[in-house]
Amino acid sequence: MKRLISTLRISPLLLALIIGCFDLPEELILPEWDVDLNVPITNKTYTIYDMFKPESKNSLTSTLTGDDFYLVQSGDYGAKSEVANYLDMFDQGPISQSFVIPANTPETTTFLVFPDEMEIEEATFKSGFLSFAIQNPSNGVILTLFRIPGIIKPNGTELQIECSLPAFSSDSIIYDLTDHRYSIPVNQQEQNKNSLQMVASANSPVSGSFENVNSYLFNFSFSSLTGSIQRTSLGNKRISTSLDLNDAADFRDKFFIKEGSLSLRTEYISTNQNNFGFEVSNIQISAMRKNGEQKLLRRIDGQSITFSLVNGSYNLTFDESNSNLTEFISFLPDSVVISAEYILNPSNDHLVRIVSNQDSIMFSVQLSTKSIFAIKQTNFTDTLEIDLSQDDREKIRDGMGADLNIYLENAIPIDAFVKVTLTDENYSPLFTLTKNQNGVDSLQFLGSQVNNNTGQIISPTVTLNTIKLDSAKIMQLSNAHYVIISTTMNTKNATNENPNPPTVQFKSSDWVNIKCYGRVKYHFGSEEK
Amino acid sequence: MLWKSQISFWFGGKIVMKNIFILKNLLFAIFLIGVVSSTAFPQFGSSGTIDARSMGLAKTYNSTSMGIYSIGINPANLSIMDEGSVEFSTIIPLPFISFHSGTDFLSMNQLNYYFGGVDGKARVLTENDKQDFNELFSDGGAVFANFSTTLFSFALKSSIETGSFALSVSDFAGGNVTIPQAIVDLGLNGNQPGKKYDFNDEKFKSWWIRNYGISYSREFPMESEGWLKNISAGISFKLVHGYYYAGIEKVNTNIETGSYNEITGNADMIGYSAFSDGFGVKYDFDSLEHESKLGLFMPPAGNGFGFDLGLSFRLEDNWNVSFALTDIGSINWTKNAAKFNVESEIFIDDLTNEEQLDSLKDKFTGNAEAIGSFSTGLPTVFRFGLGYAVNEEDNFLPGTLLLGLDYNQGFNDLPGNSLTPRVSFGFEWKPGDWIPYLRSGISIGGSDGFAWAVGLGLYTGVIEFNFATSYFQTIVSPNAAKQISFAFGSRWKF
Repeated sequence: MKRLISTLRISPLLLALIIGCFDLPEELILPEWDVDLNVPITNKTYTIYDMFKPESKNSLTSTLTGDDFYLVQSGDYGAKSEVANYLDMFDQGPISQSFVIPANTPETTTFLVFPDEMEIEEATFKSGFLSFAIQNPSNGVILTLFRIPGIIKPNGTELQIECSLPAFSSDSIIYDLTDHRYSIPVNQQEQNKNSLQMVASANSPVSGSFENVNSYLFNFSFSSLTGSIQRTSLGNKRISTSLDLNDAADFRDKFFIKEGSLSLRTEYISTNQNNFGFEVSNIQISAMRKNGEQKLLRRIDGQSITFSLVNGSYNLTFDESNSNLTEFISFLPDSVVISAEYILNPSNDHLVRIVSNQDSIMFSVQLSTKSIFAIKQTNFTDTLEIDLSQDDREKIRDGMGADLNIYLENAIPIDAFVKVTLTDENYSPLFTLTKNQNGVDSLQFLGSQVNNNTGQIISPTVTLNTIKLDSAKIMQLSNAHYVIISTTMNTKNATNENPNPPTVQFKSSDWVNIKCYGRVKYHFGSEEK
Repeated sequence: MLWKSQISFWFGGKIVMKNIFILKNLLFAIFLIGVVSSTAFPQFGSSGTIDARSMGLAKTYNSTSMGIYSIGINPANLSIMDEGSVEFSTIIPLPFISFHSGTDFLSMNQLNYYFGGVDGKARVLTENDKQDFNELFSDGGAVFANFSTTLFSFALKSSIETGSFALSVSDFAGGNVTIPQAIVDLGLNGNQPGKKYDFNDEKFKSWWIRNYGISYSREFPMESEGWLKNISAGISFKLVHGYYYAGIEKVNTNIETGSYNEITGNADMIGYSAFSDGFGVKYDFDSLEHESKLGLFMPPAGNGFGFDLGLSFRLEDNWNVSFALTDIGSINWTKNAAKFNVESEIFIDDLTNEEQLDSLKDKFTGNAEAIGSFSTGLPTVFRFGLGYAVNEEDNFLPGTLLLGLDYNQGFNDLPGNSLTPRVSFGFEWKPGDWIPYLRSGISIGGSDGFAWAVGLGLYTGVIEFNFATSYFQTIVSPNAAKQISFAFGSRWKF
């Protein structure tokens, strides 16, 4: 038993002895060290299309990313004018005719002459009223029947109106012609094709009685018409569309487009073949700025822009060879106003044609630029807020230094010089990012090589800028609250000293690849500083 | 105690647990088992922890262990008991604790240098420090910890004719991690363009299993006068309960930094885990919380069967030659079983691209999914041992002397086992009646590398006490040692 007790006493002592032999650290403390991390910060490729995506295919569009660059993209502006609007022209005043109807005699025929020498073979009334004001100066009652053989009621019967008028009295009748058809009576003579035929008869117990009648046709319009109409001006129409330029206005007077086109297309749309002609006359396309400045699109030959619709459509294209289009587009307007006079049957040929309120005139403007332009040296300055948490700022302070490479492979013919200045919360400059050669402040990014004659891109240009940040700058970076980015950009050789800078050609597929990568010396260690 | 932990695998150095608390909890559980309930002497694998007597012999046990010490090593040696004798182990009077932990790369001196600080502040590593630290991992960055215990063991030998019987309930918990050198290199020196970082040497396996074993051994004395005096044969059957398993089965991952610092590579990893309900583990894909009910007798997460076979030959009166094949079998893990799988390409060229970063995170955390079951083997080992007992009259030393030579070959790298063969030599010397048994030995190979063991045995009639360490370098030069090992325990013998 003594051995047992001794053994039990020895056991913990042995264990304590073993453990006591170790020189155990009082506290495990993770060491600190600096490590170079080679990190890919970003790798992005943008096309011009990405940068300036069109907002809509159906409008004249200035497509911007909201910032520094402006590009006029192809777009369409369309307007549809209902011919019905023009068919309402007849609603300019009543036409009337007075006549006398003797009682107990054969029928009396009279005619209401259509306005503007219009001759109608067939038509459908969209609206309209036929009115009769009747006076009976006789001493006996008169029973009257008005028959209009050219007007067929919706039920297919001829329009007939009866009235009974006591002696020495007067009355009036107003009849609604809506949805009634007109068809020139077969027996109506050629010389009366421009009139509405009315046939009246009266009966009275008193011999020698008669009535005085005034007939009116007013407020009428047709939903379709077959006949002949003389040359008629439908008046001026004005269409305006706004361009959302945003900061693109900064490019005004520094932006030159070499090639572009503006196509006007007008089309008469109808299910009928035998249409009246239209003339779109004296078209004026104006570029308007909000400050009232405007620039007119003019033909070089000075002629007005007028065309007729023959066989349904007409196309007219403006470009730098026949107009001042490049100047017009480079004006960078806030809106574009298009006005024109519309003339129906411009040939005034008195031929029978068909017009319907289902017909329409489609008017469209398509502006296309081949994006060939030059931008003179243009400066932009923008201030961005650096939104970093305090924790993020603490982590940045663990950085001991960095060599950042900005690799830019540019297939867009624009040179850019970027100056990046970081400031504290009071906008006091902390330091400016510079490339380490020649002490030049700006980071330079060269545009692609271009053919000076055609402006076409030959090959992309690679520019590598290296930025060195020492620990002091990284400390300042951790205190930065704003970054002021100043960019100077121009197309190839389009300097301010060059009054006629070469133009360059852009395609929406032109691209720029930006890789930012570098070595960051980072200090791994305790959280406590 | 908080046992609600979320599990997901990492590879590429961070190893296993998304939530480190699970590892802490598991280690605590293992410690609890070891301290509170252990008493005796299991052996798992070719390099695992062992009873204090065998540990003092540098785990030279195949031909030198006997009675309940032979359980799990060579059931044939169960017959090496006196007729009518009984052996058992309990927590009284001295609980058995067998512990072995360490690394193959970091000594205490190095730990102090790198992690001990300087005047209470973190050491700032110079370039030379970084290079030296990196080179520590050049031959592998293995970290391991093994605990073993026996909740109960009992052996009886009534007669030679009836043979020997034994019952045992033994636990083993442990794990091994190999930190890829590429991780250390990356962490210290950063990613160098053009250099390929390969994480394929990453390893991780950990488990806690319990064997309910029944053993039988019979000796067959040779009646002839030849050199073969005795043959013993033994067999053990085991019902195996597994309480948790977490392991990486395959890693084929690498990354490389390109000329524009773009990072490319391949992520390929498969891992499995299973946990007893008692751990209350909640996976990422679990929608429900699980309450933890930690205990010694939790419902198992996996079940399996295994057996040991052993043969011993006693030659002349002094030699003993033993062969054994242990832990033949498998475990089928069914409770809270999950598979972690990643197989994809890695590409990062834009840190501002959140899609790339999110994708990278997904690739490194893996896709966890619940699975019905998966199976693992047992730490199967082939053992060979040669023992020689020096007679007192032949001994050039006073007292008795037992010499042993072992060869152990594991067939897998499950915790406690090693595919690297281990050879050991040990001796047990009792100079006199009143002097304790003195034991020592050396072991080479296995997962431990070179180890010098020493031990001490005190026999007090019916009770014996043993103390040992299998890594005596820790005692001789504690601050240069990379491992620590100790074991002690007691055995009742009637």
